[in-house]
Amino acid sequence: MATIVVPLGFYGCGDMKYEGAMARPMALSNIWDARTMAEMGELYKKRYPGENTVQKLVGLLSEGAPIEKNGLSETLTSRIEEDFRTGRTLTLDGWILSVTEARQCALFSLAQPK
Amino acid sequence: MHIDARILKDNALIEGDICIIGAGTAGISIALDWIGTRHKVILLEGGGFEYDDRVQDLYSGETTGQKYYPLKSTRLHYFGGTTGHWAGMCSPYDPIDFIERDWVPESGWPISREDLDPFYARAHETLQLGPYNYDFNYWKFQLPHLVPFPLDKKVIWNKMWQFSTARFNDLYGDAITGARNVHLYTYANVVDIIANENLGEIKEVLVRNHTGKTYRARAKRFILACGAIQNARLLLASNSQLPQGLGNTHDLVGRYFMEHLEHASAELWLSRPFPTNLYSWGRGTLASAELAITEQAQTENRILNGTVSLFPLALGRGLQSEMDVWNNEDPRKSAERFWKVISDARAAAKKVTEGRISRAFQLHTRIEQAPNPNSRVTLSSEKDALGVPKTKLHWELTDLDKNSIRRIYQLLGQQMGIAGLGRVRLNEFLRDEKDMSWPSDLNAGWHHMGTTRMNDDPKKGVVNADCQVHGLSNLYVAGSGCYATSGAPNPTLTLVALSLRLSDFVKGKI
Ligand SMILES: Cc1cc2nc3c(=O)[nH]c(=O)nc-3n(C[C@H](O)[C@H](O)[C@H](O)COP(=O)(O)OP(=O)(O)OC[C@H]3O[C@@H](n4cnc5c(N)ncnc54)[C@H](O)[C@@H]3O)c2cc1C
Repeated sequence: MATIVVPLGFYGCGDMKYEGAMARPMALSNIWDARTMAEMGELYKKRYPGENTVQKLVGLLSEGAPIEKNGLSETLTSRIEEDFRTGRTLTLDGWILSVTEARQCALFSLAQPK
Repeated sequence: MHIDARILKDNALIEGDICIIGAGTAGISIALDWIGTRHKVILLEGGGFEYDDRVQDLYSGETTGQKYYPLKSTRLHYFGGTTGHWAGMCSPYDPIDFIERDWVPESGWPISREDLDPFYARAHETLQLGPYNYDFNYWKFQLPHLVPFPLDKKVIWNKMWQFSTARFNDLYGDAITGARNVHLYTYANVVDIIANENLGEIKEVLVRNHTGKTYRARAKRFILACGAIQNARLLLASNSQLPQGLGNTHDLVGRYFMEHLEHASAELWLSRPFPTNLYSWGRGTLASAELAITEQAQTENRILNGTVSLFPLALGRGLQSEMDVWNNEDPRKSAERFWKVISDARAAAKKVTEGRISRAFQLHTRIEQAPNPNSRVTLSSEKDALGVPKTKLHWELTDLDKNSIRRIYQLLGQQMGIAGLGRVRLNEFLRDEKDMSWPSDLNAGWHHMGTTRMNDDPKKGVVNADCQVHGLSNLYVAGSGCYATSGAPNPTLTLVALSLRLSDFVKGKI
């Protein structure tokens, strides 16, 4: 099983720094192992090539969310619920996912060593 | 009283007030209801009290279209009928199942759920079920640990089930044979139904068995209770007076054959454990639930009525498609293999107690099939050993069936996400919205419905709201062949209720 390499604190990728929670979809990390999460992220990026950068994904994920460490995870969790409520969902490899958590997977996959 | 028809003289005449053809679930339910009345009831059963392969072989036939079980093994041809093999799962049809839905072609029964309610209560006694109460709150009060998923009640509800262990052969053999006014004839296969000269009522039925002898049975009223496929076959095969068969002026007999589509269609992975007994059942379970789609959500999404049941994924992955397992012509061998596959899978699943998979479930669809005139029973050119044309079944599904299954899981996936419970994964065949094909492992519930559908307009139905065959004043059909739509739950509780309603009606006529 691959190990999850998302750090707990702020994570840097090139010039871009973001909080680890941004690349850790809470519900999915209790369901999938790291490899699956990265694979789903890859699938997402393939489907939306315009979002295939850390900058773009962090920008999308932090829209309207507090960047500071406390509260980000909760904000993302409620945004995921809201996605499901409003139909902002997509199907990746059969999984019915919220757009937000799919983006988190994509960000997670970008953080994996090649 | 019991008479083995094989000992009767050739051309013997059997006479009574009512004649019930078929001593299976429907036929026995009705016969029991007449015990102790002053009427002479003739109960004609094609088989004996035990399995007999020569009789069972009379059920052989061919199937085309969507893959189906061998016709010989989908029913049992002896006293007690298919209760000898059924799993006993019971739940009533929902009010929406009876009404006309503009998105379901040919939907709508001429009776309502309310009309059936008193008979459902009586059917509970016949099937030895618990109280006629399917309210979740009632059962939550009765049984510990029925914790429901916290899902939006406007979309998903908990449809309760009860479980019968009634096998009519053992259960009612003594009651029927001991009843003085019920004359049960075994080895009495009806092979032809003869109308009177003006073709407005039934005069007699011809009865045969493997001895080569033929008998006649006469009564004031006849009730056909041989199961949905066989009832249609008999009406079609009774074509000595009318080439299209009896009750078939509008070419409806045998059409609209429906099954319940049962299939492992998706997976549910919970993000944390959710201890509950509500969604599982096994030996001794009194009540459990399936996740059902509300009437409101069905209407908004224009989909069929369906439910989802949960199997631990470790178990589900060890199961094989029933369509592949139940493939022996001999129903006993099919059943044996079926239960072996389940017990092997259970044993293997017991070993899986840890890890994420212990919180994962295979999601099984149970859904009505949309009425489709091309899904039908016809006659083969081949004849059985008693000279009756064999059955040909063409099972055909529609896009509405598939779209409904897909939408059900999309709704469930959405609701699981909103509740933060977990995620749903669709199986391959549901992923592409444009894909209307069916997987080869699609199962059916061995539930035969709709071949003599009910409608008060003779141009739209074979029987009227009283289950009387249009144009034949003394011929009635008992059973799930009368269903206009197939509902989501297994059919037998409803068919017993409908049979008891018919029984009351015929009592009023005699
Ligand atoms: C494996 C399996 C599991 C099932 N599980 C469930 C379940 O869990 N819940 C549920 O609701 N349903 C279930 N069913 C379906 C259920 O068994 C049927 O819906 C029900 O038995 C049908 O009742 P019936 O009276 O119409 O037909 P049957 O019970 O099949 O009775 C028909 C009778 O007519 C007799 N007969 C046939 N032809 C003639 C003739 N020409 N002359 C005289 N007699 C004749 C037959 O011998 C038989 O006794 C299951 C079926 C199978 C095979």
